[in-house]
Amino acid sequence: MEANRIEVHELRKRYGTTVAVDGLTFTVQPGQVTGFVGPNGAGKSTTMRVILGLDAPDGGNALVGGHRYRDLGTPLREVGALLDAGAVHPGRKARDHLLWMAQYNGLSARRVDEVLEQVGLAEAARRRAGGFSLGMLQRLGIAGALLGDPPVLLFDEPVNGLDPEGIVWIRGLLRSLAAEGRAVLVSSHLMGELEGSADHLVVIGRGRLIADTTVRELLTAASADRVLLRTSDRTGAMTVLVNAGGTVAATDHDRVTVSGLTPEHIIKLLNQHDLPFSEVAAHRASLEEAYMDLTRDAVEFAAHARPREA
Amino acid sequence: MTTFLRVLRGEWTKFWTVRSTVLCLLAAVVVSVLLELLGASAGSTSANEEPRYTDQAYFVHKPLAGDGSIVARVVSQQNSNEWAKAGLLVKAGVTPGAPYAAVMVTPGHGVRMQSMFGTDLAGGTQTAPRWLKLTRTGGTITGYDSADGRDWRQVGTVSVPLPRDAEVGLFVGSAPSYQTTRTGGGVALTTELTVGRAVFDSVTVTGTPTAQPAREWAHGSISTAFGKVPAGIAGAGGLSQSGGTFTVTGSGDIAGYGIESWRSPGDDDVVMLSLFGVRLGMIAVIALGVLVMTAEYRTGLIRTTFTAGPRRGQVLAAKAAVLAGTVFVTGLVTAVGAFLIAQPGLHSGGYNPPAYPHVSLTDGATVRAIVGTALFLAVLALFSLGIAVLRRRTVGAIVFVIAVIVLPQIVVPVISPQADVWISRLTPIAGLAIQQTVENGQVIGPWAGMGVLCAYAAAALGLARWQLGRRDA
Repeated sequence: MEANRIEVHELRKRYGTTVAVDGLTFTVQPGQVTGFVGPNGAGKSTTMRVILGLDAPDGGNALVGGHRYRDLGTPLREVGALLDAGAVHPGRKARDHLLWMAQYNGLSARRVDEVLEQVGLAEAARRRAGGFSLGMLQRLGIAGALLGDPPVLLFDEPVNGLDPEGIVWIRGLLRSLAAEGRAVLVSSHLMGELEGSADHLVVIGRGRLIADTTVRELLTAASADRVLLRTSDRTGAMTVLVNAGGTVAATDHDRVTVSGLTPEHIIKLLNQHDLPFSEVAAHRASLEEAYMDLTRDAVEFAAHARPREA
Repeated sequence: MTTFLRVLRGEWTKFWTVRSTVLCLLAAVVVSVLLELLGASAGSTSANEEPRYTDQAYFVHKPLAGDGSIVARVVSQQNSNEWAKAGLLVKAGVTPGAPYAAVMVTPGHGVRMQSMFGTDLAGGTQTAPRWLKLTRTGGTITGYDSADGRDWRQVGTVSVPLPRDAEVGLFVGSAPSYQTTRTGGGVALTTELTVGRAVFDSVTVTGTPTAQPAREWAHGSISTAFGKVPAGIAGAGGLSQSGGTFTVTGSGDIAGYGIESWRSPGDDDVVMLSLFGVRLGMIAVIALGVLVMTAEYRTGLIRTTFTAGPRRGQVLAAKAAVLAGTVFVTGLVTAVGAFLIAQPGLHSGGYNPPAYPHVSLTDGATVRAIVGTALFLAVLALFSLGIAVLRRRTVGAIVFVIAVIVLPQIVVPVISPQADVWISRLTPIAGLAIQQTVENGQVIGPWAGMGVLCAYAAAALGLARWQLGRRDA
């Protein structure tokens, strides 16, 4: 059991009759950025709150470095977290906000000044947080997460409210934190936000795990299956390809997306039936598309699976 | 332990780095002291303008010229009041206020020798039947008592400016029974007249009568009927004589400052008056106790707090310690300030000796009231903190605490005075009893009252701790 991992095992959490997390299992490994993705309401924030000991699970558990969060003596030295950037007292100065957090965990005031410098808030340190923009609050929250120089970090929607410059900054920050060997879990409801920063993905929908995979595998899986076809006889092509066992979707008046058939097979079929085509190409899916595929399946799965459960 | 100290330090930083917290504390001080300033200069008493003694009794008397003595046996005395008096009296005349000396038995305070509305010498603890003797030598009067009329014991000797011709005889009085009720709302006073009754025999007067031939016994009421004793009781009493047995009934008291049975007309508790402002200032303390918690719920800061310190019991304890400590110190400053500011106003309002001896900051009871006031505010803040955890919303929690503390005081006395007494015993406001320095009329003792408030605070914090542990943050 490594010190710097997050292990979520068979986690269940319900609020009243609403099941927020439903038997979720995944591990966040050190040395990489793990994207935690799912539509709004999928259970990402709930899972993070349970990991941080804020909410008690109804089943299963979540361990950080092998310990329950509530058992950590100086938790900020073990885990840094940004949950809600607005969770500061508007009347308290930025530096004082970090100072009490530091004192809770026996960290020095000098460390407070260091992280303020690191997130670019040194000049605003003595201003009251009530006057901060959302972007500044995000930076303050990130400063709080970095305070204890922890090996494990959790960020819930850190990109929200950041300007383009801030987005570039946080991507770099996430990459460098992972490069230092830390385990980094970043949630987002937009897969595109994670493109270029996440190495690994944990995708959830309706509280269940949909995919636990590397970004590379996911893209390959999403792309490999699909072929883009451009043809002037769309109807003819679709009939032939469906009869051959492919799944075909028309995306434009002269475009068709085919899955279940390789490009070579498609070309062969079209030639056999003398159908015209101007382009046959293996599709390179974007992360966003791959994610849409996954979550669409999840919704269908959920729609079919639920009545049987009940 | 070290983790608790870290959390404590963090909570202290949290406390003083927010302006609203500091403002609440400041408001508590300013409001309390200002109200005190206004209240003390507005308050006044006429206690010292009233007569400083009462001179009421039924007197069965004979004139006596110069030296002589009187002996009698009090056969029985009805226990109409612990301070009912039956005994022998020598008095310059029957005019109220005339110089006197007396020896007497009482049902509750034994044998006493008293004179001049100010001297009170305690004899034995015996009650009727008892032999009494009073001798006059010039201006010196000596009182004796005896179980059998032979073996006399001196009770005391006093000097009284008597003229040559004085009246000597038997007297019976019975002090009114006063009932004072000190509730959170104020002081209520009821006075009930009592009538004393005593039987005397073996009455002997030796010495020179002033008139020839020797006069028979004269009798009648001495009556001042002022002060707290309502007029109209004059004449209550009488004599029925059968052979050598005198049955005397009488009402009222012969007493003044220095005599224990004299009840000072000053009913107000000066120290409590000096600390009255706290009743308004405590609202700022309630707000503070609530805000230090609900501000965290309102902003979501509570999640940051429990992320930085997952041991929620420790966090609550640290918050409570910082809050109670700060409020206590502030409360101490407030109470001392209010007390000092109130004194000149109270003095010019008539709160002066003898009805109201000046109180000093270093009197035991005053110290208890002042430190107790600070303690009251601190515990009240803790109660508010507990309620804040349970309710989580600022307005809801403040309204709840104020409703529990202030509302019963305003609403219930309208319904029934008796309910007012129970409010002062059973609601958290009972803690203010710690400000009492006058013992008579307390509906709950100072520390018992504080105990009631502490019980409320402990219950609120205990529930809060339990809720924090099981609730999602």
